[in-house]
Amino acid sequence: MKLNRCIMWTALLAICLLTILSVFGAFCGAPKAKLIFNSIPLGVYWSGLAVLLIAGFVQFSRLLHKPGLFMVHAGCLLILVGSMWGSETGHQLQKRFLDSQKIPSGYMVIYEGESEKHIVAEGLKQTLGELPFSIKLNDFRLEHYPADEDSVPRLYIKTHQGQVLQLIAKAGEEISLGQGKGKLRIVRTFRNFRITVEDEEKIVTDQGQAAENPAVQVVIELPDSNSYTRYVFENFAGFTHGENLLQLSYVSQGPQIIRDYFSDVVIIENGKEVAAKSIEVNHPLHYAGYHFYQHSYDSQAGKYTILSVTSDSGLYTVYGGYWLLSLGVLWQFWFRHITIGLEMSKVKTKVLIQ
Amino acid sequence: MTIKYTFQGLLIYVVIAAYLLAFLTTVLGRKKTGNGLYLAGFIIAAITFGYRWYDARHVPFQNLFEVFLSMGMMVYPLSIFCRRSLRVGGETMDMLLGAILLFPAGFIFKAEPQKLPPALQSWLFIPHVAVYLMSYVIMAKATVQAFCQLKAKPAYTDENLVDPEIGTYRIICFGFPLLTLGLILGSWWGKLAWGDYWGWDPKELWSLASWLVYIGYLHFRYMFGKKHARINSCLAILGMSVILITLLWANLSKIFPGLHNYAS
Ligand code: HEM
Repeated sequence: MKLNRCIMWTALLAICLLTILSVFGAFCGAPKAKLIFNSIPLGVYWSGLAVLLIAGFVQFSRLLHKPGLFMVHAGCLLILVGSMWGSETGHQLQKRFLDSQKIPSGYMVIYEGESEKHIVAEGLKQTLGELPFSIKLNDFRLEHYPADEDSVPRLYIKTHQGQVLQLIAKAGEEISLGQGKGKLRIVRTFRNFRITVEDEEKIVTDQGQAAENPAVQVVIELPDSNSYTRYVFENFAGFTHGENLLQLSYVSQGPQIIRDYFSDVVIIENGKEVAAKSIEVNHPLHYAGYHFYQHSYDSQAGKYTILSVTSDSGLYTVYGGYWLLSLGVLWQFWFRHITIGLEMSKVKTKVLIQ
Repeated sequence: MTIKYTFQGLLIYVVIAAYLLAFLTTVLGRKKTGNGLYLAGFIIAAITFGYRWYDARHVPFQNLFEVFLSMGMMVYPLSIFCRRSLRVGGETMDMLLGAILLFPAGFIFKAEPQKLPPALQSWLFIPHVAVYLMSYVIMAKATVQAFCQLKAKPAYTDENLVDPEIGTYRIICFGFPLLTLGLILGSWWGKLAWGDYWGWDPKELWSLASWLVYIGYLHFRYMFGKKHARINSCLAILGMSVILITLLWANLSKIFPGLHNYAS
């Protein structure tokens, strides 16, 4: 009886200590907290907690016989064991005693059309090791949300007095440039502006659907009934248009928001393509004991991708623990009562029938 | 504090007004009118939730405006469930709780809908946030019971209902599986989206701390039962305080930079 009390008090103390450490870790920020929770003293704590859970099973028969309680505590034990096995220290111990060559985690930088097998550390400089296969990046792609229907093309006009005017860029729209300064009228918009020369005459055309060179043609009408035509290109925002010192910028649609990133890769082992996948956020590639995730990319030219790589050691033990813990709490706190309730109602109906 | 001059804002203010009126009329003894107003408030809250879903084109769980709007809708069904199945009362305080939960949505947080960034486009987004929000509202109701126990004031005089100490325990037992599922689904999602099932991020650590406080509560109550009722209640209140920090401080303060932080 005394031992039981002792175990329960120790468990309570261990839970209390972990709560305080979690709060402390939250103030430290993730990188420092990771170091703290993976340190040797914490290693001792995690092992102690696992021993305590086992002691609980030995001393309290209810923990073994009540399915909900068993699943909850066994789930916690599995999570502890799995995460210790998959930790950096766990990998080092496996390397030492089981001759495992697995790298716990790192990154891979792969250029389009090239293959890579090196795993590098966070700064992308120090090599941590090599995979027994290589990954080839066929293509890296970004997908944007379609432009908002309500984000209509607009022309921004900065007058020489520094005033910023805005006009919807639709043929026929016009705006006054201030008293005695004339007005500006939209003539035509282009998704892909091109100039071709035919019979020594320059011809302006709009080519294709792709918004490669969006532009707008405007006419500025001066009060002295002179007028001149100008083209404003989205790709050259704020270009000053001489005579009137107007700075014109054209925005053909709202800011483009990225919807997803894709790295189309193939795995090459012994010179043969053995697997292919389009890695995207939330859809990693799993191969030969590693998970590969879309981590980052070349934001300037889109020529390379950065994948993060993690070993799956211990992962399925942790997942097993998650299942047990989830089913355990649901059984212990919800379903047990529902089944008891059903049993009771059966008894009641039996009594009524008799 | 900003007032929202939109249709959605107007609906939120109507719900807050309905909840507050329901509270006042119930306190003044007009229980039936109070219940009617509470139900009406819930129906309008559900319509507001649906409207927001349609307007933002994704389930409204993304930012703190949407989170509080959703929680404000969950109080009424919880009141009904607690009375019918757990025999726990306290609806009058739930009406006030509903108004308090909707206040940040009505007056504090911005309502501009945002597009879902890639990491949030996962099937785990809805269950992870939904179970967390439900558990938070449930634990908030348990906290009200714990305060009633501390004040040694029975919240109600109905013989069919249990006393506030047992009420606190029953509600926590009901909410704890959801809190656990929230933590586990979040961890699973973290693995899919970022490659790690646990990143030691401040928000993750605060949510672990809140879960641990409730584990402490359950073990302590197993050890001593109702013997130290006041400590039981204090633990329940501590759990809710840590949840509040997880939901607000960890998201908004620059002290806790990380993946879940909106401050920057
Ligand atoms: C560290 C060692 C631990 C020991 C020795 C221990 C022991 C116990 C015991 C003896 C009970 C009471 C069983 C009964 O009703 O007869 C219990 C209940 C429980 N334990 Fe643990 N436990 C430990 C850790 C944990 C952890 C880490 C969790 C996390 C999920 C946990 C979750 C629970 C739950 C949910 C209950 C049910 C409480 C209730 O029904 O009110 N335990 N534990």
